[in-house]
Amino acid sequence: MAVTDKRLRTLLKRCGMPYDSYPDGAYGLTIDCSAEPYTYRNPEGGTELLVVISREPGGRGLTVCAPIAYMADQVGNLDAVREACLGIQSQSQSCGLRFSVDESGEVSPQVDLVLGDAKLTATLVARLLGIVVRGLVRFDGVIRQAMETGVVSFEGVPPPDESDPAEALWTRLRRMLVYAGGLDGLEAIATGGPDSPALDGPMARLAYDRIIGVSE
Amino acid sequence: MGISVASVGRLLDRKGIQYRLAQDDFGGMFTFQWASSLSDISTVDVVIRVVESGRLLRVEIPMGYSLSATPHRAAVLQALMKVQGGCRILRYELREGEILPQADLVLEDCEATSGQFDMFMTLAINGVCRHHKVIQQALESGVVSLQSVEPADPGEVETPVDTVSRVMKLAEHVGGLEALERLVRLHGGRADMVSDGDRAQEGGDAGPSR
Repeated sequence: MAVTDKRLRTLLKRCGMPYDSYPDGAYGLTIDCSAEPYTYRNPEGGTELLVVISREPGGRGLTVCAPIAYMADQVGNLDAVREACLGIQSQSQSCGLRFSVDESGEVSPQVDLVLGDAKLTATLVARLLGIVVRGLVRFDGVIRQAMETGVVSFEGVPPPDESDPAEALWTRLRRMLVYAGGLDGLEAIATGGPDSPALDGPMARLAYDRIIGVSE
Repeated sequence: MGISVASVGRLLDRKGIQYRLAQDDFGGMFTFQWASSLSDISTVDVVIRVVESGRLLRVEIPMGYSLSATPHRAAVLQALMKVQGGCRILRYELREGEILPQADLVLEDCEATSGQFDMFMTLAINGVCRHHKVIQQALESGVVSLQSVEPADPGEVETPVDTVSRVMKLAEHVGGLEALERLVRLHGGRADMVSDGDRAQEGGDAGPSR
């Protein structure tokens, strides 16, 4: 069962993630990285991270990519950037995250899903998005240092997500969000009305922003 | 959902692959050899890990590449990135100077199918074999070139299950498998599709009739 364009849109809605439609059948999500703990800045210095989801021809696979997430314009440091990216890929938590670094210095992280005849789920879409976003949250400093100084170092990298209480809470929230059909659905279920703030509280907000970064 | 250790075992059994299995509470590790028809290597060692209680499947194809043993470090890094850029799921891990080709199949609550498994395995292993010469050349001579890469088989993206199903539908449409074979032969099919008996009938010339 290949994933159709309609199904992908439905799943994105179910994940409660606002998106833009692109003419070639891809979808773009803008992640706001202005708040802590984000340090990511795009090549223009802005706080937005663009993540694009696209289907393979025939819907037998899916790619989640952050195109030109970085621009390594110090060409002399390109080898360090490549080494940093390969090092990040070697981290046990990176789960399929891989980078392309081209000759002009464009650095694009992505994760690819082979779907074949399997069924795509909202949880899986959320996980794929999380792999790219969380990868950049965690390893932004490593890539930036390699770009700017040519030094590859994993010192100061935040610990893996398992030790992060916000991540544990996010996992529970994500499950609920998926099953409830998004934040509105979850609120409606939890409160019986759209006005009651079901997901209020600093830890819940931190987890939600930290992992997916979709701020309302 | 995802995939269980038992399911992976069944899928490998079905392909007639002899494997060794090490299992723990959280998953399992299969090791076996895979016959390759690509590149100049006949077999590759393959490790499949079922991790995160089946929510993630990882395939590793150790090729013995070592960054510490080469004077062409920069070229190798460039080659690895170039290859990754041209492959769909393949990625290289770099651990203490050792380079490990691998690919992950994230499953979460998606129930893995045999078609998906076949497609994933084929893409990963063929990706490694097709680009072996590129990495080898960079390691040995510092030259980064994708010229030696064999073109991807168009059938690589097809799962065997899908292929069989499509062929059977076509055969049904034209009146049976033999009828379909005849049609293919008439339109210049592959030489190795023609049986010995057919060769005799056709005067021994089994080549494409284009």
